[in-house]
Amino acid sequence: MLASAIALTLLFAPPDAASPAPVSASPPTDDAAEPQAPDAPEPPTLVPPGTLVLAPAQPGEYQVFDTDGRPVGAPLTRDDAADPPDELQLPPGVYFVHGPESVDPVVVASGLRLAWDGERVLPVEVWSANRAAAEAARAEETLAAAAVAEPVPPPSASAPTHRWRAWASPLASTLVPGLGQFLNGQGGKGTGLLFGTVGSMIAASALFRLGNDGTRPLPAEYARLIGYGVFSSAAPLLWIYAITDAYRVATNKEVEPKLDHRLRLSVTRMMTVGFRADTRRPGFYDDWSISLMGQAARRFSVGVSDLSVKPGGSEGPQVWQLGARVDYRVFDRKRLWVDLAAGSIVQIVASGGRAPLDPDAARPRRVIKLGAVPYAQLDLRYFVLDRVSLDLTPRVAIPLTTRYYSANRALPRYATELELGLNLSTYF
Amino acid sequence: MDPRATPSCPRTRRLSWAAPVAALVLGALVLGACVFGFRGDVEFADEASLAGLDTVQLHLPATELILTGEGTRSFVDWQGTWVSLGGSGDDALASARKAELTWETWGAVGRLSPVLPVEIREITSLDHLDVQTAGDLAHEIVGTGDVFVSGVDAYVSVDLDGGSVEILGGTEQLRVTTARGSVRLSTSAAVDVYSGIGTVTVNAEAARDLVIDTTGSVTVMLADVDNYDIDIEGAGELVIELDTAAHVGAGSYRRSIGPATNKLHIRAGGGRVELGMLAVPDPPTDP
Repeated sequence: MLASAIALTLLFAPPDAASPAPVSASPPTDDAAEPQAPDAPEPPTLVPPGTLVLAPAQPGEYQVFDTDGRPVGAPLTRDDAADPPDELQLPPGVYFVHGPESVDPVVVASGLRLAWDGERVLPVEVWSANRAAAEAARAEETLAAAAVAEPVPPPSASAPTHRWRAWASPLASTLVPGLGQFLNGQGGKGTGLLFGTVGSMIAASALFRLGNDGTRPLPAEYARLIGYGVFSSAAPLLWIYAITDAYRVATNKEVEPKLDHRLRLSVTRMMTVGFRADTRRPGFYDDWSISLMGQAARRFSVGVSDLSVKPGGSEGPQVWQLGARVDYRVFDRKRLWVDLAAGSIVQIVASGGRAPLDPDAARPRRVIKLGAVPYAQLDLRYFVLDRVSLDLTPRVAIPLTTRYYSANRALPRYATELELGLNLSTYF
Repeated sequence: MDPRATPSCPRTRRLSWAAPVAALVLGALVLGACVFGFRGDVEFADEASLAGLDTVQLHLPATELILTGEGTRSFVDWQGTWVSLGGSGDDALASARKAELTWETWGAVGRLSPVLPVEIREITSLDHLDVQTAGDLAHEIVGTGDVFVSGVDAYVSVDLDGGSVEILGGTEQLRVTTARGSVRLSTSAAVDVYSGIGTVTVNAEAARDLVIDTTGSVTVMLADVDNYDIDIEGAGELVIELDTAAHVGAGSYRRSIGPATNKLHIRAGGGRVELGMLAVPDPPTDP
């Protein structure tokens, strides 16, 4: 890209613009001044400006900088590729356009109108012709696809069908996973989602009910716990996917993740499988929580995380959990985002002691302890709608104190935990 | 437009490799979810006086308990092992050392119960506990896990969240409640058993009240069958082979034998019920 920009600079730049040193502010050296007649210095040459047409396809905010890194003009915001292009009158030279995903060099040549389409710098006439041809091809493709797909129902009949599907398909998939896909004419996908969801629920229930009386071999018990974790997570994920996919297909919308969201609300289930003090009964550790993250700057989010309450029952400790997290989006292409995140869970644990045998003696006082669990995690987000994603979140955590999970389960301090999280996130 | 004709179709084909890759990644992540840590175990032993006591209570965390009664012993002693977890071996041992069993008395009651600081309560278990005690004192056991009792003639009560129970001996009364687990009793005491799910086997060495409620099979072997009020309900299969009564069937069965002052009430919840004669060894004869 940089090489093509330099080549274009040399191609389009007028001869006097190629050697700008004489008009620079730096004083000429004695050697340079000697051959010229110093008595009557020539006035600086005035170079006519060039026109740069900014027409990137990617929506977002764009800012032009000169080679010294100074901003040129005000930032430009483009919401859509169909927006009218922005034009800048600039002195000839090389500039850099900072876009939402990359920084690209562009060239401005004296007296010429050049267009930057997000990838290349072209003469405006060539860019206009390309754009017109691309639009025509797209229109033809759409018409051809429509012609192949259906026997061209009258427009008056197709419009109500779409409106009906838009609410009926997701509702149907809410009631019976996969049913919305059948309404959308995707029988295969609907069958897969139906059997996948129901099968996962049955498998999770069966594995849970198997229980453990301490006689099962350890590998089999670990397999049972892992299987329970997989199926009990897959069931809601498939169900949610069925609902959102039914809506997306019914409305015939492309998923465009909300890059410039302000808030992200996530419901998370973190889980792992590990040892317990009872050697014959390993444990399934899971933790449901809510996170609310704000996008403080582009790609960078910060917020409260891991919010949950564990009542503890009559015997176990009561645990209030909160946390803080920062994350940075390192990748966002189409429907897949990847975030790197770090944070810490804080647990407030309250527990009373056992009542003494003497009924007249005072009960032991309630003990309150604080705990902390720092962690780092990777967020793999797959958008099922513009503002909804299903996320897979592997995490490594090292509790600095005893860490409490649901169902009165706990893991000791300093025990490194590799967890797998599953999130449902919505973006506002 | 029909959804099948949307532009998503070619993209689905293009990403057909993504599903197995995603499944592999997911599988690796799931299998990789684990915890790295250590276990530490600490053995312990202690004793306490039983002077002036009528009842011994054992309120225990989940464990395997062996309770042995021995005549008119004047003290109770116990041995066991605490197991705890830690991020390092030393940490696990340190946690295990914080756990203890304490003995308290109030009036004629003594109680053995755990004291666990909150930070180790959910990561520590009592691996096993052996208790030697007096056989003429009442014993009340509350906890979770398998329990084996022998040599206690007085009243024995076992109340478990789950676990199997086996009691040998007893002349007064045995009362057993377990949410899930099998119960096996060989006794001449009165019996009152409830098991949420599990088999119940009672060898009644004397004619006493027997009350059994379970969802599972029941086998009662009786040494003396001349004085019973038999009331059976919910038997999926019923087989009675006594010297004084015989029956084969299912469901309910009621019969009074002799003065019928001893209850034999069974609720089987659809399980198999079998009543039979207990083979009592003949007393030794002079040569």
